[in-house]
Amino acid sequence: MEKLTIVLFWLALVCGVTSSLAYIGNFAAKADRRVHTYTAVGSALGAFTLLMAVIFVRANTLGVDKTAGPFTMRIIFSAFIIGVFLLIESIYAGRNSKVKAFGMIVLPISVILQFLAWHDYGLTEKLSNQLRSYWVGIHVTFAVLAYASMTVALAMAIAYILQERQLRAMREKKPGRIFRKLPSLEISDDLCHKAIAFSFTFLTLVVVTGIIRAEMLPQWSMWYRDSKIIMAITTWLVYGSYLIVRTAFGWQGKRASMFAVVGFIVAIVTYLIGNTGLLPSIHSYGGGLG
Amino acid sequence: MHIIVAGLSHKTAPIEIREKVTFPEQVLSDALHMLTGYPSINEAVILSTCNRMEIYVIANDLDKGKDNVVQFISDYHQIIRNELEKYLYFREGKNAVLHLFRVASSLDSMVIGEAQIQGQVKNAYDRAFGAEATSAILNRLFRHALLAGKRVRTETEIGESAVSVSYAAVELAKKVFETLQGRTAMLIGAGEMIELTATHLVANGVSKVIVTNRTFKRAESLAVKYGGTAVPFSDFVDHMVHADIVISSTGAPHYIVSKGHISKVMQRRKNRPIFFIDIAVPRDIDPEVATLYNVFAYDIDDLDSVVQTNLEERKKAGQIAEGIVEAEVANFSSWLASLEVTPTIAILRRQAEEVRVKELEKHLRKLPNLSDSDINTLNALTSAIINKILHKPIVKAKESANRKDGYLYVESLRYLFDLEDENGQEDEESETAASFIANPELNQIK
Repeated sequence: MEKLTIVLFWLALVCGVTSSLAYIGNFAAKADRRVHTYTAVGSALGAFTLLMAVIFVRANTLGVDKTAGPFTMRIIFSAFIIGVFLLIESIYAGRNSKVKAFGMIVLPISVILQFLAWHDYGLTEKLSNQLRSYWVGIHVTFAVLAYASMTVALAMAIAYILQERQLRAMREKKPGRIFRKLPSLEISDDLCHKAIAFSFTFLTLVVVTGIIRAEMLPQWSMWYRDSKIIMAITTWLVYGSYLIVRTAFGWQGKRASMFAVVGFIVAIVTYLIGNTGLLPSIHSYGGGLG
Repeated sequence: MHIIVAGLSHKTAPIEIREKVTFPEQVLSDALHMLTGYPSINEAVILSTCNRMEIYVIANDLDKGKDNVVQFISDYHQIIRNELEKYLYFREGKNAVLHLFRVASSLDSMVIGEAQIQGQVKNAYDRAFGAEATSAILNRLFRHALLAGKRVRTETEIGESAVSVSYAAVELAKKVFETLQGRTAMLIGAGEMIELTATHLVANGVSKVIVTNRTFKRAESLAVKYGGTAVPFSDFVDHMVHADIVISSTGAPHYIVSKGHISKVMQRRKNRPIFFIDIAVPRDIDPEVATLYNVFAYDIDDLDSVVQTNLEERKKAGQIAEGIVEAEVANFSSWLASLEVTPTIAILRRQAEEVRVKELEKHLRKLPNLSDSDINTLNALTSAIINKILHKPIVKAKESANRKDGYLYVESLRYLFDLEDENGQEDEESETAASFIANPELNQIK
């Protein structure tokens, strides 16, 4: 069975690479080729399905004990990024096919994550009793969903910033690919906002479930001094203030997009703590888990 | 059977002539009946737009066909032939095919890549089809041409971007706003450029128009045109808070919209994006407003640079398009060549000869004792049989090839004898086929 999961994983990787190339190809092409568009969406969907299959088959055959670890984590992350993006594409691409251009940023990120996953293939964590809890399972799933939609939001923010730079310098910079192929400022901004609102909801749940779990265990009662938890709350605050300043100060547009980029950097730092053992944290239990 | 196009366009004839020879839709079917009534015209399509009037015909004689078409135009519009012929151009055979394909792909248009021509070609064909003026060849030709046009549109960026200043404004606005649906536009001034741009904006969904002008009357009349409201020139800045798009073109010698104005407006708009187009020279809007948050401001030079880049892009796309068109023409020509009678007969003869030689050799092996003169006799005998059998069908095929439905006989001949071109174009030296390939230059009647 393990062989099967490896084959599925490699197939997913091939799908991811194909999809990335098709999205990039569509951006570089003179005009939309229907073949490219179908290839791009089809292989993205394929990658998502295959990755989910890998996760379930592994969990079923090997058991949670042998699957919990950085490999599985990154696969879930990669799959969720594609999932969130495909969700957005399915809703918006009918109205504006240029929304597909985000795929050019999103799909390569998920492919990189799959490579990182392979790098740590088979690495598992010995789950301590504290981690054997539904709370932790929910906590981790929500965290990955939050990170995934943050990543998608980052793609929107980058698209916004690129397009805005072009629009501010129409005379110096000849309108090229960016001008023609990236969607309008309004929709980039709007989708970034939605992705962050989505992410923020799960981020809140992550913090809440984490704290509840920590409170259950006496040895974790000092959770508020843990570096990763402090960073997670900082991330939560950054994204929270994104949502507030947007409506309160009318910071939609470029400032919001910059905010999204900063938020993502903070989130990455949060993610890395515990993963790399950079700072001591109760999350370094799980190694690659968080 | 010859494909001929005769016509005049913006490239060869001034508007004074073009307007005299148009065929409005309501007269098209009568005109087509009249045209197909000429002895040498088998099929016809009339393409009549404001930039061109072209007549595509299938004629069974090249010179008579051309003559008939010119006669038809001069009769129909009562123009002296000599006068008319000065402006007409003719193309025939492969060049006529190429011409139509280029026209349908908008490569021959005044502004290449413009979208209307495809619909016009389709309409012209539909009318001719409806009037039963077309048959197998023009049907296939026009369907193929429309297909080529569609390929060019989907596979190149030929029609994607704006090539007029007023449309470039819309293109830019659509990069800031996802849709113009339900937006409010403010027009400062009431000149021609303002009207043109406003028309584009309204066509793209702008639902509310606010007009202001130094002479209030003019503002009011423009507001009525777009179902909007007119506001006095003295306090138009107060109304700007409602506008997402502002277009300005007044004769004012200095800026009438300052950075201070707009920063107040933006405060009241809560920084919702606003889009300025200043088409006035000297400018109406202080370029400094563009430094304000979420303010996008463009002047005539910005728009012009968009247009110039887009024109270059179109030219590049046009080159790719020419390649597509050529491939499609080659595609069509090979079908057309299969309808030619002379090469078909040559293939028939060759096929018969091959059978004869093969059978003869086979049987001569069984008769080893024959003398040379016996063999010669057998050769002559078999050849005579073959020639006698083929003589009648060949004569009949040649006869019927010049009739209106001649291609049917050629097609049947190919079908019944299962004839295939073996080495392609080798037989196309013949008269009729040559008329398709040769004469590449434009045959303008002097």
